[in-house]
Formats: sequence, structure tokens, C-alpha cells
Amino acid sequence: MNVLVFIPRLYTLKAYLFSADLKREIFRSSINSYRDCSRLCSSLMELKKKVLHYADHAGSGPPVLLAFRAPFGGSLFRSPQLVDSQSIKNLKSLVTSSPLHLPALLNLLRLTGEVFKDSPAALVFETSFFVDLPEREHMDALDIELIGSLGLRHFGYHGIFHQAACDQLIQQRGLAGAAVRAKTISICLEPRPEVAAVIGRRPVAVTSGSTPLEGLPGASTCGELDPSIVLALARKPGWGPDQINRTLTQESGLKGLTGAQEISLPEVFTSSKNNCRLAREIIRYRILLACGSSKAAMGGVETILFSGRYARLGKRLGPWLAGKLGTNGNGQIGWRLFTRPIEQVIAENALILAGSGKPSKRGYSA
Amino acid sequence: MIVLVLNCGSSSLKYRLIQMPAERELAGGEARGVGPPTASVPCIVHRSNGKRTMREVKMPDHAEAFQQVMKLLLENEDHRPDMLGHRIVHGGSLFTDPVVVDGKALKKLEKTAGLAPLHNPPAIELIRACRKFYPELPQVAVFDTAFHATIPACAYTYALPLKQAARLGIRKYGFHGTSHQYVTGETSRFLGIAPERFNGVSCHLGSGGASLCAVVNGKSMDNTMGYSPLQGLVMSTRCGDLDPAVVLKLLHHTHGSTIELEKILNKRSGVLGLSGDSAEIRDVFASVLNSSDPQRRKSLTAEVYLWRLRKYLGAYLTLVGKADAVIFTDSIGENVPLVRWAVCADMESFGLKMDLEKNEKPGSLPADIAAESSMVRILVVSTNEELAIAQQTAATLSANGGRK
Repeated sequence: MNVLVFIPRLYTLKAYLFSADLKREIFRSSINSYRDCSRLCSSLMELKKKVLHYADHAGSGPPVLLAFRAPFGGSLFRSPQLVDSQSIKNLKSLVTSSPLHLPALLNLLRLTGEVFKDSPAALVFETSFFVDLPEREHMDALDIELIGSLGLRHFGYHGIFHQAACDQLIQQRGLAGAAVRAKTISICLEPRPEVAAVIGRRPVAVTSGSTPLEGLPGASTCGELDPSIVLALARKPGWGPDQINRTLTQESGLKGLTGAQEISLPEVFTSSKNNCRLAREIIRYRILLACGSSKAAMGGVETILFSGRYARLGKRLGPWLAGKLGTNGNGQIGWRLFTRPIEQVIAENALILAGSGKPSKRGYSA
Repeated sequence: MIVLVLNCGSSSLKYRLIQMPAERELAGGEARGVGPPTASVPCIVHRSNGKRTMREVKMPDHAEAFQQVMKLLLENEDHRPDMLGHRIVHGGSLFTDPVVVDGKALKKLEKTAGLAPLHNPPAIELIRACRKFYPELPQVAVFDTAFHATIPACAYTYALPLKQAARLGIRKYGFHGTSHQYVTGETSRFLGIAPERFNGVSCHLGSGGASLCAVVNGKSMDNTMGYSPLQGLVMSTRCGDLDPAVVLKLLHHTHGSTIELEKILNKRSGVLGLSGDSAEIRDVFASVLNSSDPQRRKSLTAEVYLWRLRKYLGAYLTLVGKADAVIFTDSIGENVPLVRWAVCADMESFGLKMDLEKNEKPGSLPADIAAESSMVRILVVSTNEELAIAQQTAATLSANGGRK
């Protein structure tokens, strides 16, 4: 069965068609303004025609399995799920916790259901990997009743990458039994980077908070701040919650530090421009601290994994971090790159769920 | 030479009279209930010559409290101070060293009032009163933030729009600097290392506030507190680190009231918020240890408190690199072996190995509680912020030729 992967981002929807053996990406497409319902419907009809055409041309033919990247599944989705009435109902119950993403995802699920009738569909969640994060890690130090009433708890938001990278490390090294307690720092280098401490396949710490805003600075997001700063901004004349939110999510991070309209992590790492120097030092510094915290959370570290679309930056960071983390009695630390793209990982997860795939061993370079 | 050290709280005035360079405490105490009348009776608890007395007096402001304290002190002819040392919580970017308070410095100091609205304004008011009533006494302001002036830009810069942040004075300042500096110096002496070559992590764990400081070559490289003393570790009633999006969510929850939000974050969170009935982590530990069936809420509070501490210790030890020592100080750091044990357990990968017996009974301080084989020493050191302020006051005046 071919797999059509949907990755909804803030403004665009990416679609990727893979052959059943995942060896070939048959085609890819991008739909802009997909939050506009009527435009999305006609775009999906066009997409369906292309899917049928390319699949037929490639000799792999229908049927097609649909796979969706779901940015948030709360504590309700512990693993990938087939789309059915129950999963839709559960997703709807989480809308208040992820108001920016889930309504658009629900709309996408409804319309793809109409356009790709009879195609099974799977949801692959970024948060599933972190559902069992220990309580001491996912709790904020607030009034417990307030935490309960606002539904606050920490998740990681790049669980698909972290899980795939850690799984493949374990498979490739042929680890079993006690070795599955391997202590790994998983660094996902995406526009919103994230560091997780993982023992075997179990995450024990992560830099993100109740939302992906907490933790490391992103392309335009601030990351960790003193809570008093938000208070101080709220007290400035003319600064309401919307202005604060816009500043913290769209004008901060690498963008705010460099003053550039748009800038990516690799540009910051490779640029010789003065305005990138401080941004580079800050991101390296924060990653170092996050790795130190992760090491303490696990009582040591054996391997550092880099994943995400900028995983190759691991070549710059890996040796430096391994050296820093290896002082004072930690043994030798290895580092690896996990370079498979997210769409392929999602396709694989969906195929396994649908019962026609098995985990891949590809994707590493040392 | 006698230094009167003054530590101004929002409704209190702590004082310590110290003879220098002998570093001998002659008297000390606290004026409580300073400010508008409350249900509790305003009084001064005074210690001198091993005696403790309590005197009820009205103190509508810190100026009056100071005059009452001076009246008490001057009842003994030998207790006349030669100079005054003030603890100032926040020096912002304006003060990176102790300063002799003259008219110019006072004007500059006034600019920091907004950075610590609960603490700096009464301290400034007190300095003015001291100048008015005792103009002959030279005064030195010692800043809690000064030790952290060496924190590098990559650590003090938040990832906000740079120009906006600079305009608003938003950056990490760090706090508890006087204590971190003092215990770092004590540790260097104890270990026989030159202070400017000392590397390690200082854990100032008070029953109210708490912070960790990474020290490289005797200088502060980072502090868990940030723009304000709210960031970082879980504290008695302060939340410490919190997702900025959650702060915005709470602002919505309080219908936009920043006063209410500040109360939630500063007064109703931390150990109190998690445990539900106590802001004192020692009560929480006692409840967990002494009950055969401790409430889940209590054990969770203890776990969250220790977990964040441990993660920060790991982060800072990684930053420091080859560390000489981890230092525990202040009420929790000095007196709760359980905290030291829980934070240092299973940390051999950082070179830490504790001697459990020494941890339980460290004896007189400073004490090394690390196992012989530990690559990094683990020390329990008494902090003495008042003595540190007295030392800095005397040194600053001496360097300025005793200028008033």
C-alpha cells in the first residue's frame, strides 16, 4: 500500500507520496493557505488526481494509506492511532490545549476523509513519546489545583524524531535486555530545537514545557524566560497579551537576536556575520546546559543523537558536546546523526500500525 | 572599626554590628512589623552579649526603625558604629561593585528602584534616613547582583528582540551574589586553592529563596535566578522556571491582573503550591519520611524540588568542566543532609561521590563530605552574608580613603 503523508505546518500543508516499501518518494506537493476550508477542498481534489496519476505511473497503484503528523495528542494518544470516530472524538476534546493546531488538523481529517474515501488513515503524534514522562519532570511548581484546572503538564514536541532515532540506535547496535537501558541525549535540530534525555526507549527529561515555547530558543521563539519578564511586559503601557504573544513567538529567538527577517539554525552556525555570533553562542550555550541537565537526569550519558532537518549540524556540535560532557569521570561518549526525514518516519509508523511494515534500520551516519 | 550591616526587607530591618577586622559580632537583631499597622505587634528583637531582648515600638517606616535600632545599640557605649553597610538586592547594570554612597551614587541608586520594587525602595529610603540622622557615618551599598557582573553575554541574554530587551533593561542579573561570593572564598581557603583559580558550583539553598551559581576561576559564570529572583529552582513560595506561554495563560486566568498573577507566581507557588499546606520543604520531607503512608502530594513536592535542583547542578557542572567542589550553604544546604544526598546520588559521572556518614554528621563547618575517592569535593559551608557585607564595606571605604 502506498503511503500519502500529510504534514500540516502553521501556514502550509506538505504532502508526500511514498511507495509501499518506503524506498521511493514518488512525489511531493505543498498546499498553501490550507486553513481556508474551500481552498483546501479543491487542493485536495487536485492532490488526489496527482496521487492516482503518479502511483499509476510508478506502477504501484492504489490503494493508499493516509498518514498525518499530529502535533499534539495530550495524554490520550500514547501511540499512533487509526482515524475513526473515537480518535476524532478524543482529538476534539484536546482542542483547548492546542487551539492553534488541532482545529486545522480536524478540518484536514474531515476533508481528506471525503476526498480519499475508503482510504485508511493513521495519526502519528509528536507528543506520544512523552506521555509517560515522570511526574517530577512534567510538573510545574504551581498550585496543584491550578495545574489541574488549566490542564498543565510538560510534553516534548518532537517525539516522532526522538523515538525513531532512539529506536534505530537500539536496533542497529543489536541491543537487548540490560543494554536497552542505554543513556542517550537526543537532540532534535528543527526550527524549534529540543533536547530529551532517554534511557533505552523511555524519556526521563525534555526541554520543552507545557507548550513548545519553553526550552531552547527557536527560529522566532524565545525559549526559556524568567516568568517575571512576561509580567514586566504586561505592565508596559500598550502591551496586551496579543502583543506579548506575538513578540515571544514570532519576533524572538534567532530572528530577534540577529535582527534578520528570517534566519535558520544552519545559517546562524555557518555565517561569519557579526549579528549571528551572539545568537550562535547563545544556542550552543543553551544546548550545553540542556545536555548537562539530561546527563544528571540519567546519571550519565553514552550517546548523543542528532535528528531533525538540521541534524547535520551535529557534526559541529557532536565532538564539542562529547568533550564537555565527558569530563570528571563520565566514560567515552559517542555521537550519531539520524538523517531520515520526518515524512519517511511518519510513513513507516503508519505502515506498522496498518500491519504492513516493519521498522527500518536505515538512516544513520556516524 | 565597627560596621553596622543593615538588611532592609519590605517590612523588616535586620541588622548586625560587627567589629572588623576581628570579624566579631557585637550585637544583632531584627525590627519586625515596619510599615503600616498590621495584626502583629511591631517590635525589635535584639541580641547582645548573649542576651535576647524584645522591645515593642511603633515603626511606621524604615527611617524610624533605623532610629530605634540605633537607640538600642547606643545604650552600650561600645556599640557605636563607625560605618554602615547596606545590603541592596538589585544593582541592575549600574552597579557591579560595592559603592560608597554619596549624593551622586544615591541618585544613581534611585534609578534601580523599579528593578526590585519590594526591596530597593525601602533600602533607598533607609540610606536617605541614615544620611539625615547620622551624616558623620560613611555608608557603603553592597549589591546582591554585583558578583554576577561577570556572567557572559551568552548566559545573560534572553532570546528576545535585542534592541527591545536592552531598552527595557531585560537581561539576567542573578542574585544571592554576596553569599555565593562568600562561600566560594571560604571554600577556596579550605581547599588551599587561590580564589581566582577556584572552579565549582555553589548551591545557596535557603528556606525562602534558593539559587545555584556556576563559578569559573573565582568568577560567576551563571546563576539560576535571572531578571528577577523568580526564575530557576523551586523555592518556598516561588515557582522558579515556568513556560512563558503558561504565564500568559495565567494572565488570562487572572483576567489581566498583573498584581494577582504576581501573587500566584511569587507567593502561592513553589513548595507551598505543590504541597498545599506548607512553604517549608523541611516540613514536606518530615511528612514523607515520618509517615508510613505519605500523601502523594507531599512526595511529589519533594521529588519536583529535588529533581530541578539536580538538573541544574548537572547543567552547571558541565559548564564548569573540571570542578574543584560543589558547595552547599544556607539553611537547607547546611542543615538538611537528605537534600545533599538526593542531589549528589548517582552523580559519579560528574565526579561526585559522597561519604554518607560525613553527610549525616558533617561536624563543624566548613566540612568536606565527599568520599576519599571523589574527584570533586563536596563541601558544606556556613554562609554569612552580613559578615561578607561588613568585609566589603570596610574594604570599599579603605580603598576610597574612608570617604564619607
